[in-house]
Amino acid sequence: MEQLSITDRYFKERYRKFSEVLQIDQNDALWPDVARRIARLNSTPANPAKTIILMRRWSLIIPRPDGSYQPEPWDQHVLLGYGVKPEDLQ
Amino acid sequence: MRFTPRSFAEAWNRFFFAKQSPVPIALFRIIYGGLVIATLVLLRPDWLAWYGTHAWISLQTMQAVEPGTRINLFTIIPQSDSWINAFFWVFLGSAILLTVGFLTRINSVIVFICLTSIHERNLFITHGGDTFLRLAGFFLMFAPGGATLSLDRLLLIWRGKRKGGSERTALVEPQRPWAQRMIQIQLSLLYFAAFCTKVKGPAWFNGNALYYIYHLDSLRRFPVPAWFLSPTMLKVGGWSALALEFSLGVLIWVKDLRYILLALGLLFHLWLEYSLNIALFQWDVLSAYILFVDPADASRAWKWIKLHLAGRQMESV
Repeated sequence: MEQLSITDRYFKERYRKFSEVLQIDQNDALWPDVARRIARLNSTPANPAKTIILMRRWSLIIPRPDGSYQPEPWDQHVLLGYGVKPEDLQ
Repeated sequence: MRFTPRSFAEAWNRFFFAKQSPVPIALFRIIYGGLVIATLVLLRPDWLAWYGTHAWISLQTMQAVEPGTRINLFTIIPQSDSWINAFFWVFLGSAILLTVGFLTRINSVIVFICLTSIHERNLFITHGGDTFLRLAGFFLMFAPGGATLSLDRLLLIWRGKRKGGSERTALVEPQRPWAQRMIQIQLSLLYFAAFCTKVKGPAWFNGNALYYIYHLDSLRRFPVPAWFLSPTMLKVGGWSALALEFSLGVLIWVKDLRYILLALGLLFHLWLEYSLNIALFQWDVLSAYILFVDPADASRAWKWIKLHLAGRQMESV
């Protein structure tokens, strides 16, 4: 989102909302569908996707008394590793 | 004033059923239609990505995670991308007709069913503003939204003239406002529910909530001044937001406080629209403010504007 222009960001805001929802463990039923779509979008007949890995990346926001903001280190966690089947690409 | 069951019943009937000008609900219909159109236009590049046959979430998964009987036309129409595109063009056409007030009642039903369908097809990309539009759309179906400021009314006048009809056809008949009242109640509930949700967690009480929000890169829109990001301002801003949401949920019904609260609410939402990137949310909520304006006050304001403009024209001559 951060890399989009102001206009594109407004158009694509639903993706921010969607990615927020996807990171919640209770919504794990959605992950295989998302993996399949990513596989379709990134496959060609000559070079089909074989594995899709969904990862959650986060960095804590810690309020400081003086109001300054220090970015915390990024952490990551694998949500799903998905083996792509041939029928997923049709 | 003594409170008796009889006085309560009278007040209830006056509130929901005493006839009033349909201008506020007609203005709301126009704004509502415009917002549905804007929603569809913003979604246009991704109609198939969100709702198509190979969407991010399949229809089967959606039905599995949200089981039960639902208003969802996607379960009825054939699952092909051309049908899904056709659905959206019909939806858009109907929203345009609703906005201009042509076959208003029928189009309000079509828009409600289509809007509910896209929400049910993918609930995971909707925000509170979308939900408010859907709920307001339900009551709009029963409201006299096309009674004025509409093509329906122009056609009525035109037909009346052709038949040599009386002046009555040109008069805007007062209407029962119960559906408008339900949308107003919905808006106050939205604010009150937002207030209740916020006070459940510690972040809004200890004043850190806005600090988190304004440091989320993905939510940021236009740059905010540095003084606003100072800890004191963020704390005061957070507590003010809580107080305002409570007031707009509860005190909005106190007549003497209404306009001042609406003005504060307007400034609050315009600030959020400027600083945070949440597509259409603020406008969805603001759309119903018009329903809280007393038609007599709106009429007085309109006369004042016309007089003021006429005065200026005279001065320039």
